[in-house]
Amino acid sequence: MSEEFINDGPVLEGEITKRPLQFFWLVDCSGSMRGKKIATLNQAIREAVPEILRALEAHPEVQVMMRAIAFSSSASWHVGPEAVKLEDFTWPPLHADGYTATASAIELLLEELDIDKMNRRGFPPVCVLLSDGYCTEPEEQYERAIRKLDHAPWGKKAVRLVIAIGDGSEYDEQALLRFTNHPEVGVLKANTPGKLVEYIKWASVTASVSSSQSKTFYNDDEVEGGEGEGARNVILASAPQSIQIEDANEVF
Amino acid sequence: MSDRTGPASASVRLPAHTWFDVRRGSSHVRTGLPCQDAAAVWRGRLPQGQVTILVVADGHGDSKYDLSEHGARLAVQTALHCLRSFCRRFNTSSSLLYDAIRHDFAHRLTRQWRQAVLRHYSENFPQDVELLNRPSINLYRRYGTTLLFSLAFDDCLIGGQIGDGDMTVTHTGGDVGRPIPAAERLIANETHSLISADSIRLWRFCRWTLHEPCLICLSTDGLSNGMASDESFGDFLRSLVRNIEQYSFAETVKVVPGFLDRVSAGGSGDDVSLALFWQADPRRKKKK
Amino acid sequence: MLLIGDTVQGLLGSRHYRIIDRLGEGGQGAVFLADDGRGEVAVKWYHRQNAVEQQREMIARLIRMGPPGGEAGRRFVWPLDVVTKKGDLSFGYVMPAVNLKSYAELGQVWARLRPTPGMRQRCRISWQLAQAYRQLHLAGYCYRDISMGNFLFDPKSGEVLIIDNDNIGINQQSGSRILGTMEFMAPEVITGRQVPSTSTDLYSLAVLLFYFWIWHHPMHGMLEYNVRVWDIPAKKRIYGEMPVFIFDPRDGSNRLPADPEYQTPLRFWDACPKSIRDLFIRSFTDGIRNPDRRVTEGEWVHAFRQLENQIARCPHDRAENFWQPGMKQLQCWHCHRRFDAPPRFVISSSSGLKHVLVLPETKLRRSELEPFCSEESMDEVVAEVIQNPNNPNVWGLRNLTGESWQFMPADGSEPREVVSGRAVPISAGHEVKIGYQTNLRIEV
Ligand SMILES: [Zn+2]
Repeated sequence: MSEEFINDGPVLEGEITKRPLQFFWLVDCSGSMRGKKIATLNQAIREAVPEILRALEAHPEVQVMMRAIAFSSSASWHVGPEAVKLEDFTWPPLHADGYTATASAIELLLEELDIDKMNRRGFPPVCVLLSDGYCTEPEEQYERAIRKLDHAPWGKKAVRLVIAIGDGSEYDEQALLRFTNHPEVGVLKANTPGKLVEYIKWASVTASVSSSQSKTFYNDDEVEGGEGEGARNVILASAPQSIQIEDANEVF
Repeated sequence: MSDRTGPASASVRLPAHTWFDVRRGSSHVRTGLPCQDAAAVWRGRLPQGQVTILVVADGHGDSKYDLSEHGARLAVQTALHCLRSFCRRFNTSSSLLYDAIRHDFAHRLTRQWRQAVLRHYSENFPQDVELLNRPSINLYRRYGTTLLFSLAFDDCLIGGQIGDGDMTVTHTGGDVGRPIPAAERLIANETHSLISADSIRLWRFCRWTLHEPCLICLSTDGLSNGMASDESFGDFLRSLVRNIEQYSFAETVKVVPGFLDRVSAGGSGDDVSLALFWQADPRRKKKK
Repeated sequence: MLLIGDTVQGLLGSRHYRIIDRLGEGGQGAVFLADDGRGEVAVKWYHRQNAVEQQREMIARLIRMGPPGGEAGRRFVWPLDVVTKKGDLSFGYVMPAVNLKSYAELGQVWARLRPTPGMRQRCRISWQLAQAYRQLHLAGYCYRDISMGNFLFDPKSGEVLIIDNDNIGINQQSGSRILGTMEFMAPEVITGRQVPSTSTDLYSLAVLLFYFWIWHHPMHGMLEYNVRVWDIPAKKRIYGEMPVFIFDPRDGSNRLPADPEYQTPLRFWDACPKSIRDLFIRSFTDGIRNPDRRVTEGEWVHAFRQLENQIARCPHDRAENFWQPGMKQLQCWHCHRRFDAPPRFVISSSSGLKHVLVLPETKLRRSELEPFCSEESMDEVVAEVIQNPNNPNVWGLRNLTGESWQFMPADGSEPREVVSGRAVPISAGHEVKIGYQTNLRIEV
């Protein structure tokens, strides 16, 4: 701004910045994640960060802002609530212990998706939920949180993906499915460490890139009087098709 | 009249106190995409007196809308034509003109734009007989664009908008008026467009009394999206007015293209179009 | 020219108003938010060319005479004071400030800036609008400028406000200034054969309701579509000299064109209940040439109040569907699946037969049980559907009238008294005698 006094001739002002893309990790660190699962998860997120950075080199006008919510017996900010620029982001390792407060995690997320807290010009946010078990909070609380997420303006617009960790008998697929708004992707089932790494990378990279791509054109054919169901904002490339190899002796 | 979609060319002579430019976005340069914005300025005598028309359009880009650079250019041309004929036909009062624009402009413009699109398509793809005989939304979609215009008379402005983009009136005191307020319900990179279903009902119109001097400014969203906040966008507008007063309109607009390029490179990455009309007030100057 | 920070002087009681903010601008003037020292008010300031002496006199007279009475009269945002500014040839007037956060214009709903009201709200908005004009006309006024721009509604609650009341005149006598938006004018006003009156208001009201339900002008069909030069003579022809309704059952010359931009009205017309379609047809066929055949405000009120009680939600997708007397099943307009009609209260009173669908949220208002109750009490809830606290499977209609009902069970057993606060169980064939003249039967 001091330029104005040095320069001779007109000088224009106004701060220029990239548009933000808010990225939220919602990570289950309940007791059942203990051991190999949490170690793989920590490693996978660490590996995903440079991949997102690389993928977004083609979109330098996007500023990805990272945050993470960890939930076990309760939910709290693992990184945040102040968002960290992707290029400055490092993943502090998580330790597993306690129950599975998924609903509280979503409630915490909702606080930050508030219409007054988000930048109106921002790209659709990305929310990736990682969990290996049943939500231990009352079903109504989980349902209520999901409903609020479905109705919040930014919750609707967000790209919400779920990665289920471990054996299908240990988590509630139907409940997790309610979190995602991309039924064509469904619940990504990471039943091996390899798949977990692959899915975390795929979900975070694809969602970020898709969200930062060009506009969407409001073209709703919604139910009369409805508040815009199906106003989904982002089209995702399809999830990685993993080759079916029975590696059943891998303990998870 | 002058309009263009490409970079500024020195041969275009603009009427006094109007200016526009269309800058190809940094991401378009990087990926080899054409500039998909278009803009135009027209100033002349109509039954209402001296009228200045500013129009900007933002073609959608993206592979689904591969002809949107033409869609934007045709929208700008059609809008200019349509607005001038509305001025001639509804010339008894600005209230009558405003009523006519509010009620009839959108569907008259949409039809003319579609005809222009069809002409363009038949000239460039004459072999596509099937689509030309039964033009469908799939054809028009490829030309998808937003559109934003303002008609300025001595003492008032009539404006209209479909999709994003900003119309502002900045006064010498520094206050920035927004004749058409931002659409709060459209967030996260979502916009309306001439190809939206039921597009004629998505238009918004305004009438705004001008107390001069003021700067009327129309821009595509590549500009405001590259600014840190509404406040920063306001800072830019206020600095334009301050410089015009301190130096001159002509001196000030010389530095605008460079600034727009910086906004694209360091911010939005998008094409940036800006059309300006500096409404200095002769009456008020006499009083002083 | 009025600017933020200016002060304007009132003519009545010489009050001062400080201009705080600009709220918007229309064809006639700009509207500002102002502070009169006691609270917020709105000030409309005329564009110079509209600031004529006749207008000032008209507003002064409206202030003197006051708004129409009753509940509906309060929906008019009435002028309170005339204001001027030193050295300015224009003038303005003061009115109560409206909370623009909750009220919307139809155009804002079209542009998706505000939520689309649901069917129940649409009914409520429609009858409130008609009721407000009824009250205005009863007070001897005519509005003269009914249009989309001066009608505000709350899409959530269904409340209605009418603004820009500065053009209201005394029926049959005030000045002959032709006002208003041609789209909404009665044909005889456009052609200059008549000046605006309550009967031309009725035509404008029908156009406004048509816009509200069908999102389109009733005369914008092929005749309008084929006009190449759209100018004042063309508009006079379409709206005034040879108006033909797009859905005229006998004259097909102005049908909607096959253009995709004209498909929305067709979709909404199909979704519109027959009782309302019939009123529109009468308004825009017989009602064009014969003002005595126009649909009265009372007819609109009656029709929309009926409909408000006849909306059933599809169990599959919650889409709102209109039930019509005689229907055992409904076919959802959205998912096209069929579902059973809910039970009904069939209410017979001195004003005829009424049907109210029995839904968990159903409430009966006084006007439904006592057709000739006062306007103040008509909206009062006098009965509501509740669940039996001891057995949630049993539903009942609780008496809130303050007086006892007589309940006659379907099996013919002894009539029982239902004191105020207690509920009649809802099952097929039960009847309830309410007051002297009203009988309620439960139909399944
Ligand atoms: Zn249905």
